[in-house]
Amino acid sequence: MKYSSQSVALPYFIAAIGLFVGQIIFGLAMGLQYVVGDFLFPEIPFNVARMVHTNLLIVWLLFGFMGAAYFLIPEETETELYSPKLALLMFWVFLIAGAATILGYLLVPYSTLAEMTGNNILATMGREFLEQPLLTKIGIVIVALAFLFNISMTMLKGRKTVISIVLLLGLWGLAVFFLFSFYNPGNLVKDKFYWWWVVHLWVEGVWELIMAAMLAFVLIKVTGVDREVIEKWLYVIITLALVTGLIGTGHHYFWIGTPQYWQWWGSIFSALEPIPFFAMTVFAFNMVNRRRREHPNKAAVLWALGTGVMAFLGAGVWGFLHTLAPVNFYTHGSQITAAHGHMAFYGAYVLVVLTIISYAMPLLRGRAANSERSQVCEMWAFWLMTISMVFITLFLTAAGILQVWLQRVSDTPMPFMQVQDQIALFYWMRLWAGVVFSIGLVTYLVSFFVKGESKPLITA
Amino acid sequence: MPVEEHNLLKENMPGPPLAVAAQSLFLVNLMIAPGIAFLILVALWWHYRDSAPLLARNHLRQTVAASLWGGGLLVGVSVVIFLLGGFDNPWSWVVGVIYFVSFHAMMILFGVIGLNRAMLDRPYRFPVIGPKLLD
Repeated sequence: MKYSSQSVALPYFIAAIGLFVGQIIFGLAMGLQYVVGDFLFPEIPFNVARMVHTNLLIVWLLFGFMGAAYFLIPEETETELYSPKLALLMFWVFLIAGAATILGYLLVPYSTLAEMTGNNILATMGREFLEQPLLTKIGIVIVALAFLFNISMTMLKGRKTVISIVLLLGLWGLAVFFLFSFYNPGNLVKDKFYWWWVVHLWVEGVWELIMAAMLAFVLIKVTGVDREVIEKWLYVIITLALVTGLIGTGHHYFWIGTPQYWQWWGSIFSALEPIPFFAMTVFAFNMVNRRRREHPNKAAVLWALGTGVMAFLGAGVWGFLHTLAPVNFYTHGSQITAAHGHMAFYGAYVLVVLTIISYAMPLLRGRAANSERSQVCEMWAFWLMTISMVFITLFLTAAGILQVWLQRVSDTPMPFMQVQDQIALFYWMRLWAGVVFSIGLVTYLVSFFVKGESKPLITA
Repeated sequence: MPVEEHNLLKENMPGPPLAVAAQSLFLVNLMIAPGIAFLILVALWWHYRDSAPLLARNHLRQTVAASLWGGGLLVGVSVVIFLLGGFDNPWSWVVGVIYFVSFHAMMILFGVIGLNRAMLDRPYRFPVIGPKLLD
């Protein structure tokens, strides 16, 4: 660790991992609820478990992004963080607000939570992924503004690099687009239209910039490839991401009541959306293949390569699978969407956060890389989680295809719940793949505590 | 050309443009312009099959062969799945779509490795379906 203020990243990373564990516990519970419908009912009904599962994902990724920025920006700008104290204060604010929100979901009926938190003053709740109470949303904005102030001020006083500028652009975009979560018009078409400005323009827009910047940073560090070479790739990737992703929002506008031209715009631009992810795969492999010597942190290299491949498969290939309007007419909102969602989030964002944690954590703990034994354990975790995620995706895809056929294509279409019975076999298989994923996650946690001779940090 | 001559940490794309073009066309054929890209690839291979430097010739041979075998297996097995299972059978769609998507993605990932090898001035043999490298 070159700058002492980088250490504020540590609690962010620890919180991210802790919330990741929570997300997977609720994922497993839901996996079981798919096949044993009254499991945990009425204590934790499916809709609540799902809300906790997805909200925890968003929150832990945000913790990961913020931790990554606090680690990466001082090194890129070659200066200490503007205010480490503000960063730590915001950590506790965000953690307490996040924990209180999750407890609110679990302990209080959702409607009561809405009443308690001022939803009658400004109604923002009740929408998928944006279920947070108004107070939490305001808290997120305050934390985001303080965070961006801290990062921007650090950048202003230090060196400006392409990586830090792209990262900052992504982070500002994240904050700006979140503001649309406060806009909740009565017209359902308008509501959905702008709802996607948060959801889509995050994950298929500005988050891709954050992801590319984080990946580029780690690749510079673990390969030693010249910054100029990596920056050129970064320019190409973010251009492709923005050109395809922004108008690609149209693939959510096919059936919500918007004009028909969105079927063309959405189909054409979102069909191109795999290209930036493809470029990221080529980028990751290209940089790793260029290195002259092995970096002592082999695990970080593996996570980085995994990010490239899995993001392309999940976001790119599985996204394309159902993105054309004539196909989406049949597949919309089926288990094919769930398959895509799982692999895309895992491949693009879970893996990139775990990549930077893998790279930064040993440095934050005063060593260049963890011991061989610890890294082997970490790499086992990578393979267990990644392979099980591939199977989760395949089983959900199979369930989705069967669902589409039985419910929407067949001459004698079956009702939704009857179809669910027909595809239960795949839900069981998905559940067991989820169990393997959680074993991988436990292995990942264990890797932090495996002892052995670590690579010492060489300081100039 | 020996690999040692290049500084891979600084050069953007040290590999021969013809080899990079071959691997790119292989990928374009799979992803954006199926058929058209393959025809251009075959034309390139036909034109340069004897005259190009060894590395570029290898990449041209590999990509043409991989396109033929890969395309054959992609389309052929899919057709067999539907012919055996029947178009009205949902299980044909389950197996057929998953096979097509997975095999197609696998070919792209092999292509990514091939493209990187070409860009870094290194030879590449596609696993199983690639012909032996020329010496």
